[in-house]
Amino acid sequence: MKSNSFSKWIFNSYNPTVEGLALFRIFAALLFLFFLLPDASYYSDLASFPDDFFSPPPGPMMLVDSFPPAWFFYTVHVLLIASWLGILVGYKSRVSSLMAGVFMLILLGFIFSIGKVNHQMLLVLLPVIMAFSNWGDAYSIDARRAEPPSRAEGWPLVLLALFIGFMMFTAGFPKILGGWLNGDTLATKGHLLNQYFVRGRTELLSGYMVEMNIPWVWSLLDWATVIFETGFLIAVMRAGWTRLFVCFAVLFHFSTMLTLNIAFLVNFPAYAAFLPWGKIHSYISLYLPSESDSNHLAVIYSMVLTGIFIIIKIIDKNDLILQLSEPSFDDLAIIGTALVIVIALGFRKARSLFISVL
Amino acid sequence: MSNLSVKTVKSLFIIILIFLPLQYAVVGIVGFYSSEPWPAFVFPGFKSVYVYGDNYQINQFIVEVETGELRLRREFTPQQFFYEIPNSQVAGFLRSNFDTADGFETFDFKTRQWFRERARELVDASTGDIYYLHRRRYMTRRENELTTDSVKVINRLLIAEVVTDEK
Repeated sequence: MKSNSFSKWIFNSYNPTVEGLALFRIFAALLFLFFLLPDASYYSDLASFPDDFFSPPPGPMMLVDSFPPAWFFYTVHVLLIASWLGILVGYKSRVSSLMAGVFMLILLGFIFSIGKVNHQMLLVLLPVIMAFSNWGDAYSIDARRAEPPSRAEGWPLVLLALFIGFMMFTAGFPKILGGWLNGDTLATKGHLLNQYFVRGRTELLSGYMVEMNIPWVWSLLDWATVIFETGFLIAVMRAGWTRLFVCFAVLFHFSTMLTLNIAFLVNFPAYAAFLPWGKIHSYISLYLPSESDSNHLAVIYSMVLTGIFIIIKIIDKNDLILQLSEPSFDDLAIIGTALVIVIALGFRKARSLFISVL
Repeated sequence: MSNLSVKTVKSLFIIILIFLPLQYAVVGIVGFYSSEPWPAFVFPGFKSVYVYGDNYQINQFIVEVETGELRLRREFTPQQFFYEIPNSQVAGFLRSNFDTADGFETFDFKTRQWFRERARELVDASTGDIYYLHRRRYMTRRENELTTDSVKVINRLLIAEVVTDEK
């Protein structure tokens, strides 16, 4: 990549507005606080496990000999919540964002020392990267300071896309080496059977899929998965391609949730960063009287989101609609909504393309 | 809020573009000899393929608990026995803790005591030996239905012996 095109890629791919980024900041913070905090009820279990169960992955966690006491977990948990609340209201946004990443990293380090690493680094990366986008410079306590307002930075979105694209590539590349593209293997089906019979993931469409015996469909799914995961890395070169692959990612996670009962909700705040937040801001602004305080927009927006998230939580906790063990109603509602948004955006894009051709 | 300079951002991107493949190589090497390092910027590969044609192999892991005078064996799935561990982590937990274990001596007294207390809680009776069982089910699709052809015990590992005063 030439120096000029390299600079263009970094600095001109995305042109966010501070108001749009602020709406995303509020959305991400509420999503995290309601649905993505580590399960605090697990801390006392972890702390009471025998030391033999402490099996840290290779890395810095090996410097520790055993699980820390429960109070340590709870302290870091409270600090994590405080950091995300700081992000929500935009109080010392950059520091709050960086600390949110650090505290999440500490908690995940101990949670994964049970002998299994889950791949939730985007929960760490998102606030750390977005700290440099100036997402706290509108609709925030920071914005009330006397300093002149700063410019929204687009390069953190490129960096975030690069991390997602590379991490997707690390999921796709081993599949090629492992034989997913061989005509006589049905890898997706194999994983489905493994999840169904061994891990007891038998909800939603999994039973139907276990019985489905159409080899070319399974083979097609193997190919589609590999092409999607490896192709994401190429897609990060252009904002439009990235957005398209983020839409594919939503479709991918929705289908794995229905069939394998694996909901990867942890990636969704990062995917949401690529929504057209500037346009969303303009759209919401239309519905507010021009003379109203601009912060009213953020307050109303936050309250509406909070209300929706509370309703989802209540339905989930009380098993009011679906009695699922895994995925949860939370996962189903949010990933399902993401799919509806993707379909709506796709329809809008197709319509504008159709009109431009005419 | 102050922004990073253009030069700093470009340098950051160059460093990350070099760092990402390097860390992936380290993940591959360390993962091959030990287990996946952390923190790392990778997603799960799920590279293993279990299905060839219409034949399937399913590995099952069970915790067996001897109960009562007759020492009848009751089976628990790992999800039942280690119920507090999230489902997404159970398989990895088993791999880390039981795949390389030689016998109950692998675990210290406190851990064996934990197994016994957990077993007693689940069966609500006196318990004997506790085993970790690895079985493999061989399945075939016939007439659009999955049927089990055979089940083979790959390994039965004693993870906690009955304590003397309970014998």
